[in-house]
Amino acid sequence: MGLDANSGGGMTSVRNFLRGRKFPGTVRLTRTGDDSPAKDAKSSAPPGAVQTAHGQALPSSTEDRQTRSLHGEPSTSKQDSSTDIDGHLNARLVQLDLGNILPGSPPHSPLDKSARGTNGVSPGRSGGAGPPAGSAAPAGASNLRSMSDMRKAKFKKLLDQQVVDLDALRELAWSGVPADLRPVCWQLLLGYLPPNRERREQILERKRREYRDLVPEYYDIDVAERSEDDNCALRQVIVDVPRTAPGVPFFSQPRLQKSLERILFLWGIRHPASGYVQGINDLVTPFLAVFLSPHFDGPVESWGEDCAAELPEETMTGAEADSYWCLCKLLDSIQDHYTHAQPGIQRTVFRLQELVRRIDEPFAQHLEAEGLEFLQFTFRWVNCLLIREIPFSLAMRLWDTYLAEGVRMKEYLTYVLAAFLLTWSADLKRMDFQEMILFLQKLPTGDWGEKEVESVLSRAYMWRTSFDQAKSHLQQQ
Amino acid sequence: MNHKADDDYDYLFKVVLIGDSGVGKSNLLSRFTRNEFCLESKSTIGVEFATRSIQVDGKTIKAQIWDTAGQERYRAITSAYYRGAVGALLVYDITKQVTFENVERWLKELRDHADSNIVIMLVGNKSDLRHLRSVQTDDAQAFCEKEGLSFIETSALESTNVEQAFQRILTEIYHIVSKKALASEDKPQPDKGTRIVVSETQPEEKKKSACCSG
Repeated sequence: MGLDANSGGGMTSVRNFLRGRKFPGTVRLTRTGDDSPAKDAKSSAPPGAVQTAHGQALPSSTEDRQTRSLHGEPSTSKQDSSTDIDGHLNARLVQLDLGNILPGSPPHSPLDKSARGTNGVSPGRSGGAGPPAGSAAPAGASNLRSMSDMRKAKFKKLLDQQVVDLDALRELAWSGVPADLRPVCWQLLLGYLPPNRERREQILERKRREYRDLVPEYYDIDVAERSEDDNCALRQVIVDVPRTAPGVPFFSQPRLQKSLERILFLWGIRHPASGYVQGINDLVTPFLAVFLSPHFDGPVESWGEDCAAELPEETMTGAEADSYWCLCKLLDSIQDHYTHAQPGIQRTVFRLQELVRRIDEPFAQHLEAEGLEFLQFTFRWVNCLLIREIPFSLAMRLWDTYLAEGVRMKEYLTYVLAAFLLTWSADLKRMDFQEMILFLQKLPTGDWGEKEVESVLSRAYMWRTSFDQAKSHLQQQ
Repeated sequence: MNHKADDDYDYLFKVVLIGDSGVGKSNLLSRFTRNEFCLESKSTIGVEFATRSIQVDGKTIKAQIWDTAGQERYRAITSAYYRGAVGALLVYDITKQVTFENVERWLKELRDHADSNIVIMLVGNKSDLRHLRSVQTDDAQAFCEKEGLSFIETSALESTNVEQAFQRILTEIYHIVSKKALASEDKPQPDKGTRIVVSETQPEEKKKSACCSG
């Protein structure tokens, strides 16, 4: 079951494939626009406060530098020091995760040390920027730093509890989780890790073993031993893996692609009501990136395209298993998005249409007059939870809020979609059918930063709050 | 609504791109409409839309092309777009036998959901991968003769025959439509509904838009 010569093996092989050949027109390695590489992510810092913080060189202790062990690249290759420092914090999280979840860890976990040592994280990247956009007035870098420190301290305090208060964690995480705390926070929010720290190590061990056992049972078997349906499903996964987050070199590594292949195939096998559906490959990428983030410096776009090669087997399989289970948890609530005829998506789109009509009647009328149907442009939005519509670096920030919403995510999603769409309400009203559909297929979000995402999330929150008081406006299914 | 000059056309034809996942539908479309090829493009979710106008017999033909997701799960969604389509490019990958074997299933899809007089062209894509070929041209040709389909092999990467594929199907549609318009006593009415459909308008009048002007 080999891959096409032109469809696998990562960027290196793609470049080899292209070497010395000439092709007409434009040949791109990846589609530009919604999947801007690191360069865009860096320049995408929103104006004002966050940019100031980005430009600010934050000190980092030499001790921190020395403790790095798994980083392939020297820190000098990083574009700015703030991301480098994030990387340091990330590096510590290997220990931090365990330190925090192991019973009887000392009161001063490694986090204490690293947080003190680095004294601040760029809010622009960490997601620890404090309140949702709109409420953050431009401030000096030091203000932001201390704000981010304060938020971080709040997280740490929560995470240090014997039994984590999940409601409190949800509330805090809703406005963004510091990058280095994402692995543990996401796993808690999804209910993959139990709130009680005494049970965490045991559960993690069991779940990882359970996943490891699935691999030989379903995946590592001969083609002939699998049913035709399963082989067909595997073929589909193999077609999609090389084109998963193609703008992010990290995912083009053979090792990552194998992990993706196993996760997606096993998920499909174990969820026969839907099976693997295209787009689910996109949804697993934030998990892999976040659960492996402790081992790399800086934002995911800057991780080298062979950085995973040196990771110990156990680290890789651990992150793979965690990603699998977290994907299961995430999709549990939206499985009807992927079953036959995708009724969950259709319902969401229908509710979105009703909601938009109530929020912006002239806009809704304009779409109708032009003959543009919501399903024509929102299908992918819902199917991939908007991850395809924004730069990859922002997916993690989006996930913070989704996961904090928990069981309410599905309902909240409709409001997020409305807020997202109406971002361009004024522009769209000036366009005809064709202009609108082309615009909506490739939205100008390439230079978005967390500020823009947070603005969408906040508006969605606001609308939900106001419409919640008039329940009948949207029929809950 | 302001229309640009290039939005003047005599005919508007809706065409769908269908076929298995990963055969290169989206790249055929981007090659035809933007002269672009993307080596690692993402999978299409649902449908995507693009247009391009070409000249046939001195008439401007605007092709409105809907590129569909290849996975079976999406057929319930994508088959809604077959309605009103006058052409279908049914694409397979010449290096993947299974994508050719599935052509019959796609034809059934079209029979079930599309207009009965839809013009279908079978497209064997990735002809640049000569060393990996697993579907022989003769076999595909013979199949097309049996089924009454047009046939062409293309390479979206090398831009071989892409222009020709679209040109041929649009010309074929044009001939059918203009013949029909001549034969028909009642001139077909442009659709004034809200959906995008093919309009069989009179060739004399330069059309603005069949349906989507506000």
